Amino acid sequence: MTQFALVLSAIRGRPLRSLLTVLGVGVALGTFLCFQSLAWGLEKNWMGLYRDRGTDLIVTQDSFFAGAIAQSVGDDIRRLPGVRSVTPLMWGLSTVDGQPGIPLTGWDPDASTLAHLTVRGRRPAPNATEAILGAYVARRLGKDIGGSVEIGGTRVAVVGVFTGENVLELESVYIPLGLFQQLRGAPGVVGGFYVDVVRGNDTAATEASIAQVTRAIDARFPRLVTYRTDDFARNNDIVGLTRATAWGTSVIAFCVAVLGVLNTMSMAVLERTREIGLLRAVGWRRRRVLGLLLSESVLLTTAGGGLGIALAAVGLRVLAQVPRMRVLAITGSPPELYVETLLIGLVLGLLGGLLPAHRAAQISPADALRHE
Amino acid sequence: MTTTAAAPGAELLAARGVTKIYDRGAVEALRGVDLVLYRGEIVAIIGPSGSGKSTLLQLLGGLDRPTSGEILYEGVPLAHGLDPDRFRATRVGFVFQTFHLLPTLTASQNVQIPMFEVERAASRRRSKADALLQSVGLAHRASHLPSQLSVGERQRVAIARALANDPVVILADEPTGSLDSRAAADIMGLLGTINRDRGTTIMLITHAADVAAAAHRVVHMRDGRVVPETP
Repeated sequence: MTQFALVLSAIRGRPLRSLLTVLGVGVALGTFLCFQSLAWGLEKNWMGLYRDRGTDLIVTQDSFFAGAIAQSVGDDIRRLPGVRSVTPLMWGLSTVDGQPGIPLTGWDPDASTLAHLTVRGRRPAPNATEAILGAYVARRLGKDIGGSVEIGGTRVAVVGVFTGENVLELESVYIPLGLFQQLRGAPGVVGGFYVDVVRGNDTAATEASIAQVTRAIDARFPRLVTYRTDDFARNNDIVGLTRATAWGTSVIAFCVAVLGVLNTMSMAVLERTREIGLLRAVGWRRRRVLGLLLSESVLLTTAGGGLGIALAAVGLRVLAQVPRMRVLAITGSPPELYVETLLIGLVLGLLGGLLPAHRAAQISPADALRHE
Repeated sequence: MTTTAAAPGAELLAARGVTKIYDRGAVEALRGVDLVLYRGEIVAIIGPSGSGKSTLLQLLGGLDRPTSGEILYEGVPLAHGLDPDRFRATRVGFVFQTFHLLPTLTASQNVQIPMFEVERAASRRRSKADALLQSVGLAHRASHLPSQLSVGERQRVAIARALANDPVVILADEPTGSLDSRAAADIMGLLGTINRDRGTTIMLITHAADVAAAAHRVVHMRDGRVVPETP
């Protein structure tokens, strides 16, 4: 018999308690993995959104939501050395056909920024009261080419449905910039600009070009903020809020799980006082007793981690069926999150088991053998 | 007190002026006890409940420390000699009235428990445990759980466990206390065999006069003291 077999026999000896502990830890770690995966999915989709558009820089005020920049600023930016193209945009969440919270983008239909989209039908004419819908939002609204949607009290003709790689994009509606400005009552105002720079001969040269254009824009327009695309995607409010929510929920779940494990192991030590006394009586050193109890704790929580991964996989699949959550859930989980989940399970076992294991190791064999 | 017929061997374990006080002075379990265990003998400690017998056993076995006085092993105070855990692992075997077998382990696995500190290889632990179970007549029950054994068989397993690391002394606290007379006789017979064949010193605590009669020497205790021999 190995010491591992001894650990297993102790766990099997109390099957209900062991099962409940694994279940509790599994739910906690599954929650962690789910929320982290959702945040990761959102961030990945958001970054992909801008990466697919091939944009180098985003120029805005504090955020696209609050943007109210004169459209003519775009012309000034275009004249700066090193700038290849400037695309003005407006972006927001809108109610479309009675469905709130749908991403709505106003842009120049001929801009190269959206060249990566495969549009069935056609793109809207500039300034026309027309829209193209992402495939997911089109399905959700039950609309296709030839139909129309209501946006801000205006009926807008659906002239195209687009497909692509990015889930966030496929939940979006695109209309000409002029129509967006009209619906918002903000003619000549945009939320920001996508800026592409002149490419260098190699990556380093292009990077230098991006840095130079950034400095030029900052100097010329000190009230505007210029972001690298990845930084903008990573640090935007929605992603930040989702990430904070994920971590906040995960911390709470983790704390509850630690307390659960602490309770389980404390009860185990209490119930096994005589058993522990016997181990000490036959010469087991304190550190071996400590190791035994800690091993039990870690084994339970690691099993909980495995269960958590399975629960999260199921949970994400279920969420992917919910239209509003599909954007986040369909991306799945990155491999490193699985490893993180198991490692957290390990840490959980150490934290929850350490105090009870230490107490067990300090038990006097004489007292323990007298214990009723 | 019964006078021993055989001459004692060398001094193995001794208590010199040992006192043990519990509960911040409320309980004086031992009061200046002097006792010597010699190699190769069987000693029975007999006395009423509360006379300090179990406390003395625990101190001699290194399970606890005296409040004053000293416990010596081969003339060396335990406090200055072997580490107590090592002492218990390699020199002492314990047998308890209620067996203290781990309920989720088989007989063979229970016997292996003391070997973890002494024998690294799991295969050797297993083979030695099986050999010990054979020596106590339980080879056929090696894979049974304690709940599947009779009380007599459980005590046999406990004795096999006590022999796991070839101890020089077995300390048995009421080894027949939970057994019927037939099983008790079997156990005493087994302990006698161990004493004869291995030369293991045995100290046992008992209330039963017939069990004490099997010992080479009987020591009486009352109120935390060894009662002197009456001529």
